[in-house]
Amino acid sequence: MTTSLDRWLNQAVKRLSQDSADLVRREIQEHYDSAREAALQQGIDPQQADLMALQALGDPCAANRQYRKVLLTSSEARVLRQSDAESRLICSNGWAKWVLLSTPGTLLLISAISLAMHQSKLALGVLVLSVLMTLFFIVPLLPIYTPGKGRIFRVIKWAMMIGSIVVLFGPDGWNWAWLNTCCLYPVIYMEWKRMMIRRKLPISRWPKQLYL
Amino acid sequence: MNLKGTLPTLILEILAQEPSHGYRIAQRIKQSSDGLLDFKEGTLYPALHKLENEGSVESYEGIENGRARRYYRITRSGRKALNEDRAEWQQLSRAVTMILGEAQ
Repeated sequence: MTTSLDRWLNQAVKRLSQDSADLVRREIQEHYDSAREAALQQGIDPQQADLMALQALGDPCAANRQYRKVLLTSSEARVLRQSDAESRLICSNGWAKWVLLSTPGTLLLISAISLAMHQSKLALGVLVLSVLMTLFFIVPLLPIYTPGKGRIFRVIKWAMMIGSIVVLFGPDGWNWAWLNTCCLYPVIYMEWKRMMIRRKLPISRWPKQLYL
Repeated sequence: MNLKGTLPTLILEILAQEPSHGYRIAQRIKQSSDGLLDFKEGTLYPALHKLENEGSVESYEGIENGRARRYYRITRSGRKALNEDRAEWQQLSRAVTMILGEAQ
């Protein structure tokens, strides 16, 4: 009957992260042992007790669906591990740090010079690039450590990204929607995954990147 | 009888009386309702984790009969949520009783 419980557990922990799966296995095993013991104390024979304890757990697929709503899945755990990539890139060495941090300012300066030279289209393009680089490389270093500040930052971030597209493509924006969607897909995917993770992790366990 | 979304409230009610582990919570719900409220026990833990994510309950390691168990206890915000759920349930129950009473 242990193999039946193993089968139940394998179904119930499908697509969950390793930590979540370990937690589920442990608590269901505890639950199963208690139910089995209680049945044995009532004089039920061991085989029947195993069967009753397993049946009381219900459908493993239904449990899995519910577990995936509240515990981290393997893809979310991967996003959580990798989502501080910008910060790691910036902090990897001093040289890279100063190049990445000074680039937005330099681009802003180039944009201003281009504008002064009446190259308004070039100035606009460089300005948008500067804004996007600021969003991705400088903001992870800002002291955003509360859900409220994080929410404000995310609103500003999306407003700036959409604003950049509008500024860059102007009235032709809709014609280039397919390109923008393709380019923004990784950002949207990451944002969606982070949103799911925020719901599943208590705030006390949020790493810095979840606020952003 | 199907619990239809009331399981978190019932869990909070049980935990408001004393900290407990999953198996005991399931048994208390069944016993307190004279077996009327029956549910698949595998769905109890996702509900407990959801409450934990929301900050309504917190878990800790405990020992029962020499065996390590994961215990849950209600938090202050959990008690507040329970009070709100109770009030909401009483209103709903009163309204349904009024309608069913009229129908008789």
